[in-house]
Amino acid sequence: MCLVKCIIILPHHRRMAAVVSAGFSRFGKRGEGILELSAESSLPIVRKFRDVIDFVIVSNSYSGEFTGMSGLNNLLTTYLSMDETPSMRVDNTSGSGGAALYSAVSLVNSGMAGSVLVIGAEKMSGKPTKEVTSIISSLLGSRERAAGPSLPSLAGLMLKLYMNEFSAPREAIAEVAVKNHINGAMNPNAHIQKVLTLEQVMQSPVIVDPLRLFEISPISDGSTSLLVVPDGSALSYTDKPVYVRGIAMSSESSFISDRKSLTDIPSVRRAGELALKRAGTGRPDLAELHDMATILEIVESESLGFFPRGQGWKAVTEGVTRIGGEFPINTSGGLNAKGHPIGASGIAQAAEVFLQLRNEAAGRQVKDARTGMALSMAGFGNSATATVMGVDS
Amino acid sequence: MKLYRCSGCGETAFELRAVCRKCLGEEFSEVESGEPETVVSSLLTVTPAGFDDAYTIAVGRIGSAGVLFSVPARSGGKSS
Repeated sequence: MCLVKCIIILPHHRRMAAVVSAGFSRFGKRGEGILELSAESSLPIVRKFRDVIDFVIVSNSYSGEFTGMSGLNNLLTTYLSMDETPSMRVDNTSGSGGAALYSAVSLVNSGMAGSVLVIGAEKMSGKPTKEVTSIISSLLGSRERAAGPSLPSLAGLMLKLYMNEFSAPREAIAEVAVKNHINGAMNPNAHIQKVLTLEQVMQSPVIVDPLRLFEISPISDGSTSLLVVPDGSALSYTDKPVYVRGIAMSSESSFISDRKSLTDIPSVRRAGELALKRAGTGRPDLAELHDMATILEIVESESLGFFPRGQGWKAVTEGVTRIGGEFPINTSGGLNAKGHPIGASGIAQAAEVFLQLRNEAAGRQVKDARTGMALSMAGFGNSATATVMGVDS
Repeated sequence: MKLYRCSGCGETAFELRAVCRKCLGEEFSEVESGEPETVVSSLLTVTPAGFDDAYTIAVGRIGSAGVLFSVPARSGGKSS
């Protein structure tokens, strides 16, 4: 009886997390180790808010494999002299950042933490390319892995099927790399800060037929950090909080051989649909997508419902997804130009949306951006987290 | 090519699970299922450590089951 009454009497306050600060390291081939890179992005936040940060989440997938280090979260809090602050490492391969953000939002929304520092970090460049390729392929099913695919090779298969199924011209797909390198050249933290012509993209070496070098994210080191707090306290940190209006995760079979289609990503579709529903909004003003390869940006933009199936490539050639277009995608340069330090990528995507919604994205600023989505994806769509952010409480 | 067949419902799969995704059965047998029909394939020239330097990777089908397999490059690659 009481329970019924309480439910009726309690006000319908929907808890909502807010991102109140972001810190960056330059992505690229860096000489520093993972602790130093992590400190580079997190220290600007820690210096200001050390006393109130009561939880640290480290988004990282391969510290063991790439740097021979375990317990990275505890080593990192100690390195920052936050010895007693509880922490955990969240690993969801390429989608670690989305999962870390999901965890941080859950902690503050449940009241289990009041101020969560999320540090995304990966150090990859210490290993040769074949070794990096092998480490990343370890997320595949054992029998599939034994056949020797790389993750980019799956994107090569996707590209062939997409072009065939939807009569998409090859150059239209490569235009994603041209756009993202233009954007990356305006991002001081991007790995590659060089504008490329379509000819340069199309003449770069083939990595997996028909995907070419400049269409695939480079091997990068780097770190990005965010501070996540409950909406009620957000204004005590900053006068420009960015609210997490909706966040959702979904998964799909890890086995590529189970997939009915390689030109749709069901985990992305479901996560996006639910995040938008939770946010109570339609298509946002901009999005950061997981363009490990050019074709992925297009397929994801369709799976998310931003464009009809098979039509995403037209949005690229018509300039819809450029900065200044109707719906800019990957204003940061995307994984394609910004780089893809695995554990940092998903955090960097959300941090780009944060900058855009605060009108702090300088030369790559999208005019009047009020809402944005960050899509963090693990493996080849094995898992996806969509985060819809917005200004105005 | 070998597939795993669920003893409960007959569903075949390339990768083994503890539980059948169709009927939730938990018993499987290995069955020889013939060669796959290729759906799409692609030549890979940056390969993981322990593999040849170039080969073709392919997604195919055997009946209702998807499979993923490789075909050696004609010229042959070197192992590293």
